[in-house]
Amino acid sequence: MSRSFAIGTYAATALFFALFFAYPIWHTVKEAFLTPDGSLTFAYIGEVFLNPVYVEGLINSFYMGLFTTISCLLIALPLAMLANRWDFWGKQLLNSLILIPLILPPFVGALGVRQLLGQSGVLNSFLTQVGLMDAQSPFDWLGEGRLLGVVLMNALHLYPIAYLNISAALANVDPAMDEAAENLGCHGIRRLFRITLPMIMPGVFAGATIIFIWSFTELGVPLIFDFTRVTSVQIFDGIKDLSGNPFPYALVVVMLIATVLFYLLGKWAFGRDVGASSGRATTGRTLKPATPLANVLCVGSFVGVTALAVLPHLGVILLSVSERWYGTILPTEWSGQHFRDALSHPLTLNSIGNSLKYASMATGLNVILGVAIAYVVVRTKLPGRQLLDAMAMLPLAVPGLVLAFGYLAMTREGQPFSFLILGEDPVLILVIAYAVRRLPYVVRAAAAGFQQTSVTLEEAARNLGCHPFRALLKVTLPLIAANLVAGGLLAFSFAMLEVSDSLILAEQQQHFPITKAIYSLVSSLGNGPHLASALGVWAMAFLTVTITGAGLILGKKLGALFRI
Amino acid sequence: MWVRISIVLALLGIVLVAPFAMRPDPDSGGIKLDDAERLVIITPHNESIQAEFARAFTRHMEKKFNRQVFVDWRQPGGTSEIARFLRSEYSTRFENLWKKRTQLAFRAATRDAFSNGKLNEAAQSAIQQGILDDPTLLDSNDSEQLALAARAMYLESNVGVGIDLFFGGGAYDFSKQASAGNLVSRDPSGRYGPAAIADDHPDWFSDAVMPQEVSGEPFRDPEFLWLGTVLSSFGICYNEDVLSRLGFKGGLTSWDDLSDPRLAGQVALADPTKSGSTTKAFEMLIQERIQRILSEGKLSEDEAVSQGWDEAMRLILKISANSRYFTDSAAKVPRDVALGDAAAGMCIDFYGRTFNELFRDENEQSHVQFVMPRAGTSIGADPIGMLRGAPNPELAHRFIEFVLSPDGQKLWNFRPGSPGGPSRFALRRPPIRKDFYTPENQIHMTDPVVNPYEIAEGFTYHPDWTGSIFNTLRFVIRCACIDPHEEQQAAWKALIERGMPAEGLAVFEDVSLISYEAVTTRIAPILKKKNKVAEIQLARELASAFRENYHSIEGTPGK
Repeated sequence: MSRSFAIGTYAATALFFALFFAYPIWHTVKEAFLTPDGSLTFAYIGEVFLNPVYVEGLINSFYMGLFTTISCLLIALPLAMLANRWDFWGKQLLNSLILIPLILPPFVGALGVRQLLGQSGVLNSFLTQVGLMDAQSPFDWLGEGRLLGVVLMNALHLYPIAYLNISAALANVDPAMDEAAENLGCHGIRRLFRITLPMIMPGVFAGATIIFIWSFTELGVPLIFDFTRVTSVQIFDGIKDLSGNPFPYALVVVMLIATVLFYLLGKWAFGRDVGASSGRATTGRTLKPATPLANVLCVGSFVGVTALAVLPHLGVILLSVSERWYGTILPTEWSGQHFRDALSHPLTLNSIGNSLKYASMATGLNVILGVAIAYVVVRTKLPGRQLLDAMAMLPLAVPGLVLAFGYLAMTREGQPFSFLILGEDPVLILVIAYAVRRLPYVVRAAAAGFQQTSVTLEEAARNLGCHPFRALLKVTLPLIAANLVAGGLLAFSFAMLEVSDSLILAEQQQHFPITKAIYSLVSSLGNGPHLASALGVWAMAFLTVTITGAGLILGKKLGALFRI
Repeated sequence: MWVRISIVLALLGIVLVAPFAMRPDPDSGGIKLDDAERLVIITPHNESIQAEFARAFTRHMEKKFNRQVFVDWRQPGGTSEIARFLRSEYSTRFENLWKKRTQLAFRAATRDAFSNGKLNEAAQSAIQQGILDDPTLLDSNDSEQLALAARAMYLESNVGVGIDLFFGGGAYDFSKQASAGNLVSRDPSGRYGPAAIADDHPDWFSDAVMPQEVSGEPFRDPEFLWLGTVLSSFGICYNEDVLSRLGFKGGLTSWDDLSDPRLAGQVALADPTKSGSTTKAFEMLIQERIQRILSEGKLSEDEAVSQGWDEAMRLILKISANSRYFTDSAAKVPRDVALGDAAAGMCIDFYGRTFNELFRDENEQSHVQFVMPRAGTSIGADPIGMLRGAPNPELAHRFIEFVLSPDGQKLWNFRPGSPGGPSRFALRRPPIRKDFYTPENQIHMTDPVVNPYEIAEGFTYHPDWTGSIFNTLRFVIRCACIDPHEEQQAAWKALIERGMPAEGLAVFEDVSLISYEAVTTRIAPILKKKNKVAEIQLARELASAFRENYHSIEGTPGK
């Protein structure tokens, strides 16, 4: 590998991170580390560990992350294996639909869940109607759900991340390995644990780390269940507290450090190289046409999991077309007017265009940065690359408001990055903000691809006189395209649904992205939540068409990428 | 393959075309007109209020002055985000000025000083002594001099953040901004701003129209740094279905009712740590208690204040134990109550009334009710103020003038479509002008029976009782209720299951750590020192003590 090329890439990505991640965070959290006269203090950090409420918060957050991760793997791994083995009815469609749970729009998603699980919600109405519950003493799912409720909801929301990454990893496994194992008498469960799992570990690890960090720092779901003793909620409450105490920033730093430690620990335990020495598959995997039993099993599990996971979405959809919905399974009065009102609202059209612009530019930036970082981390032996790798995961863990206020401060007039605001247009800083926050998906996906693709292919190209950059472009990138598509789709979808940066940085209405339009509409008196739901449904419809469309159009190509 | 591509493209087309097909007509407001003058307003007001005022004001400017105006609303979140936003913005803008004029670094101490209202007097006299004559001569080691210079320079400056007005929130939020120096009564020319409006319309600021204070609550800043525009108050909203399920006959009428153990896990509360108006609602609950004790005539005023505070604390502990959560979202409480996810909650008046109307059936009956607790609520002003460095002070002046004019006031409570009323949304808020509540106006009002001035008469706020420990109250509730909420709920549940044993209840109600005496002699003085580390340590100490207390209850025997 060309050392100068590697060092150049390394320096560029590290610099980007320093400027657009470390600097804005420091800008916000420094209050908790500096006394008024400017000297360093760790008194706030100390308080985090002295106060049992915050220690418990950290422990609960850890459980939330751990159990969510395990649940996601338990859901995603069997599904991915089934899809990798059988050719069943409607597979392409089901394969894409399974990603839909990820695209729950903010603000209205929580309303949808409340409609379902509230004391007079859909579930209780249903249970009452079928005689399983006494109408006089409905169960309080949200109030009593606690950690279990949070974990279940997280798992049903996040399993697609594991599914995508594991599927990509399975696609990269050389079927010859399985066949060899089979020939040597290694079958069933034994083969799974001895051969398949170790081979797909990079993908499992990629999905699991994202899910762990996401759920370790998740804010929205614990808030829905009023489960407040977790670090993310404590930070959120602290930042909003009127006393202006810098303590929550110390909590932010503790959470970030804990995230890095957990990540490195996980990497040390599970994320080691798997020796992709055999290179890519030499033979194509032949999918078995499903037997009737397998068909039922496959279709049943895909439909079952997806149906369960899209219930909150269904809540949002019903909200958007309901006029009255209280204490019944379905709305009692329907209306299409909310859609007309929402789509014809002055905010809507602009915000849709803006979101598309911001999200697609951010995804482009993400792919470039993600490939560069993953390349440095996997393909080089440069010192400090592990730190860069861990840093690249941190955007998942930083509370949105902290980073957003950092960006705000650094792009003001007279500040070093004021050139990023064009006139009054925040497009550049928003694209950077979106890209930074969504970077982990692409970095993990690309890193998994690099790990599974033997470096010998690139080396061969370079022996034949190819420049390292060209070798990367012509040989490796096409081989990891499936991973990049997977990572890019996630990055794009989540960028479309980004909250904090959008609220703080998109100040003028003509720059609002769709999430800020939803936020604005939710607060309208009267039919506000319905209008916002209608706009949320539009966003879901758009992302659904994009994701399933990508699956259908790339069809065989994507399928082929997944398999060979 | 082509079939697939065309299907996907067709679907994508349908999804993308829908919003284009329903594109609004350009004059419905909200769209920026390129040649229009722009007024920038930062606000926590909801979208309905924004839309109605933008529409009415642009029409007003066109009709009266033949000017094209565009209102550019800024909403980074609720009041707490706005406060942060303004702090961050003013601080970076002032930093530029400071560095330019003094050639000195901008340290944290300087940042704290420039927005410190307590330095006003000293800064004014320092200006007279010439502290700003040549800022490059400031001594970088003299922290006191630097602090005064920073404050002086800020007060003299026209540093702006590109925003003209701050509209909506509570008197608390505005007095904070006023004390930081971010609000001005006049622009540098002296011709525009709230004080100039008072010059133009002295009659508006008389006791008959807009009194300066009502029942002890400020309705405007004495120096015209902010003016109230509309009124608001906290009340109780409840769900009749849920209450009857829980065995209540009839509705709730007072704050005390929220402490009924039958409501365990069914009360929705607003979070006092994140909102000044919510803290105010809790303060009212305390003042109501003090007043009640005082009216019994057995105790002196000092004794009544002390005893009233302690009793109110016990009540707050019980209400908190009943509560599901403390939220900072004004709409969440009435929504959860309306959907039956909570039986009752603390709720801002116009949200309560809106939800009552929203759920009316064909017989005009609603299961969501809103009440103002007897003698336990006060009416607060919801203000507007001009920000320092407003880019368009003249337009800002016109907007404030419009909001306070009889025409502007109609928008708050007239029915949609009535003459001069809002065009789409009933805002259901009581206007601030006393002369608005006339029989002629009442026929068009959505809430003709609500006269906040009459309600306010039933209750007088005494700032001398609890005003000085307003911020401490928030801190105390956090330490006793919010931080140890889980343990508190568990202890309460244990007490309910055992039939409220007196011994256990006494432990639960032990407020000695946050009694009036403890608060005034120990807690408030520590908080006033502004030592943030000491504040956190005190919070830990108190919260831990309450946790222990709640834990110990689970071990006490039942009846």
